[in-house]
Amino acid sequence: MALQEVCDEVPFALVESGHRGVRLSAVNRTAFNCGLKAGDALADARTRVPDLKVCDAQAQLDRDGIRRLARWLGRYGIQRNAYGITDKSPSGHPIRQYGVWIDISGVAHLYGGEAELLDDIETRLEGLGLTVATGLADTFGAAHALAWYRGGRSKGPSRIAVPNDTLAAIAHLPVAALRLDGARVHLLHRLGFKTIGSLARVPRIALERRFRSPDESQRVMLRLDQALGLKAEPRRPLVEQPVVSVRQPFAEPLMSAEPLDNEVRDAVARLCERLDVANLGVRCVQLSLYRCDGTIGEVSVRLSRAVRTPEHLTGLLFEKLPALDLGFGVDLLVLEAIATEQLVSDQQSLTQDRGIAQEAAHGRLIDRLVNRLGAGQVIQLAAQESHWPECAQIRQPARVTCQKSFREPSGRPDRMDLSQPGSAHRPALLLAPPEQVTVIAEIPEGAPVQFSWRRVRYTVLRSQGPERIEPEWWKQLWPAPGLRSRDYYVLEDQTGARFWVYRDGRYDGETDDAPPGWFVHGVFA
Amino acid sequence: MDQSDRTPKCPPAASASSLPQGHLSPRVSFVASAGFASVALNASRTSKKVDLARRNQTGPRLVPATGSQNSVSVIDDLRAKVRAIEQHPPVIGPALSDDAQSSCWTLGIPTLDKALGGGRSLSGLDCASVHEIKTSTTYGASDAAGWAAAIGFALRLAVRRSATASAPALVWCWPKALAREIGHLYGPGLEALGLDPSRMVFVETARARDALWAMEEALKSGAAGLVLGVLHDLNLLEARRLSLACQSAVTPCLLLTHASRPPAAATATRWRVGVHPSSPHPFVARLPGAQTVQMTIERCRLNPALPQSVPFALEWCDETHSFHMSSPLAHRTLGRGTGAPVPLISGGTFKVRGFAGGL
Repeated sequence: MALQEVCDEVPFALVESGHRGVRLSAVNRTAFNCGLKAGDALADARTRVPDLKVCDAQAQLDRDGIRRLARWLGRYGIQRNAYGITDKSPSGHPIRQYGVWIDISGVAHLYGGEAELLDDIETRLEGLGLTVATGLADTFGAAHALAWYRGGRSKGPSRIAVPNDTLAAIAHLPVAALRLDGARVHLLHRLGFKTIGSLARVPRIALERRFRSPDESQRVMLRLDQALGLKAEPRRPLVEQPVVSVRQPFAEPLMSAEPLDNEVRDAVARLCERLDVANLGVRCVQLSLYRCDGTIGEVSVRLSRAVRTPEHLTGLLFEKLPALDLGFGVDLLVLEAIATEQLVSDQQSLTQDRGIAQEAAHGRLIDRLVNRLGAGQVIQLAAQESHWPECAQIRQPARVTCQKSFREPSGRPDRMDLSQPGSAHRPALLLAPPEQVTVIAEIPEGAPVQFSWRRVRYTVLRSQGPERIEPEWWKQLWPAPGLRSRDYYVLEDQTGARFWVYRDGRYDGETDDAPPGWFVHGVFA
Repeated sequence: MDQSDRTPKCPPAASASSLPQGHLSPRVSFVASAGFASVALNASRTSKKVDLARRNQTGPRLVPATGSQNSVSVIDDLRAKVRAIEQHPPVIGPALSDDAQSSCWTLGIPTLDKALGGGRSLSGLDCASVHEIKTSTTYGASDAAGWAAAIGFALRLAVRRSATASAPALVWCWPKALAREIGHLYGPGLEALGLDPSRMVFVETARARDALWAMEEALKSGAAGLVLGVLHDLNLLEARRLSLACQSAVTPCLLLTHASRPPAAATATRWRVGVHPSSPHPFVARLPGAQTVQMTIERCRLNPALPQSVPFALEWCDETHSFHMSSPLAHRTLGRGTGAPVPLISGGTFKVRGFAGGL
């Protein structure tokens, strides 16, 4: 593709067409040095730089890329996410800016300090061919301002705001760094506020009067307060904060599966030790492999009940490891317990009751089945209170805990029904959806004497019915207004096969209804 | 070989010595007569070896074959070896533990259970092996009806198993395509049969291989009281794997396969189950009565003499959750070869002679 042919020496830009014509949405360094910038019209740019190479911008790819990068940056802090800010260029063309924020609380010492942490981020990302600017501050707003508006993009102490003295670090930055839109920045400039420091020093009441409305001034003040840490700014992280996490960096990237298996085993053992101390069991585990090429491989395992057995967890993870591509090597392994539950150690039973062990074995079985086949393929049946045959049960993912019993609902006929002693009225096999059959009946309202189903003709020797089942009135209102009452028959043919057949609708019903149809709904096993 | 010719030739002394106390076991009578037939046909050297094998019944004997023997005697030796092996009941280690005996799995028909157990103290179906249930092609019945009959028999065996099994869970594995064709299992219907659907785990896989894997996994886990699998067919290797998995955790496995496919070897028993008209309703003639299946035992590892080609009908009793012989069949005579027909049932109780006479 054209993208790969472009190197940094050739002026290159991404373009997108809007209501003001085709404009540049991003430029590379060479094009920037030629005087082009995002927001310029393509025609103007072509005039100035005739050998400009262009390619269509794909916003979705940009978003995916920055999100992928945000995932990979989880190595510097678990709480992180990508963010985008849409700014307007002087010509009125919207320009998107993407960044990643990382919460590095308690992480910096692992890299030897905050400056070293930022150096590490910049070195790694520049190794991947990216141009990076970083900023570090107490608040998201201040860090954003430092990263984007520091000017000169030089490495140095200026990119880090000293704790509890944010204003000093960002006072010299322009007011545009406060994530304000173009109109408000323009207004602030007209008022004479060029830097954040000048804005912060003015008394609030004096400032409010200069805006058109209190709401307008509130918004500016909110951004300022957020940057200075006077007002909270909640941010949604990419992933939930894990309860317990274990990380294992490698000096040499792991390239083969065998050492990785050992490392995973060690990590699981360490995780289980920490869970044991906290009396926790894990319900969801995520293993993240950070590759050197800026990508991340993740597998997650969900468990049907809280466990902290290393062998079981390892077995489940090993099942999914071969699907992961190690790429150019893995240099960091992080194992996180995403969801946990209180789990007290099982006590040995004094009697021979093996209930706890049974339940644990059952849970392990369900975990293994679900892990390999997916939750949609391992199901359990639970009763639902409904007369309507299809609604009398729901299929749901298998769990260890007991489902609602089928003995409760009133959908089943009375056992004292003498017409069929000890025999069931409900088939063990239910066809979904019911299949239409052609039927010959002696009288329209009676039981069939012959029917054809799946091109086989059945002669009915014995029959029982009808059992009329009316749809519940609230279902007739919604979601299925066309439901009609059904007359169910148990039919046995000459070979002994037994079917559950119903007639949809009644012959004495409303005349505008469609004529009744016959359906096979189940086979008695 | 015609069994009717062999049976009268059975030497009285040999059969008396090898018969267990009490009932006449069909297995023993078969082997004794077969051994005698070979003795009558061949040299006395062979008969000594057979006698040796018969006297010392603890394990299979190996008869040394020397190069000087002619081909006929080599074949005789091999036959003797095979008989010696057949005479010895197969070694099933874990099944004989106390745990397995306490949770035996019967059909509820004492004679049939005893015959299935092969004359050992354990009666009924072996809890550490695979049992295959094949659908049967009955004239006029559809494929779906055939499947339903086989599934019905398997579910009723599951009811009997769940009453005694220490592990409560039943695992049902089948490919999704088959579930669409036959119909999904319906909770109220299962409950009516006597099963508790909340204790069942259903695995509906996209591919048949995954269903096999799930079955093996469930068997090995030891968490399941019974594993049921519905498949079109499976090969020897897969059946063998399932069988080993059964033995490792003493969990029985019921395998339902289609009639048209060759039977899976390496199973302890094989049943061919088809539809059968139900017995008359006790009160009203036009109503369907108690549900009945027709079946043939095609293979029984513990009792190689049991399989017979004559099908019989089993009726399920919803009150006692047990099988019993359908009454029209119970009075039918199955005796062949012994001259006078031997009634399968006499005086309301089963006699093992009914089965022995049929051989």
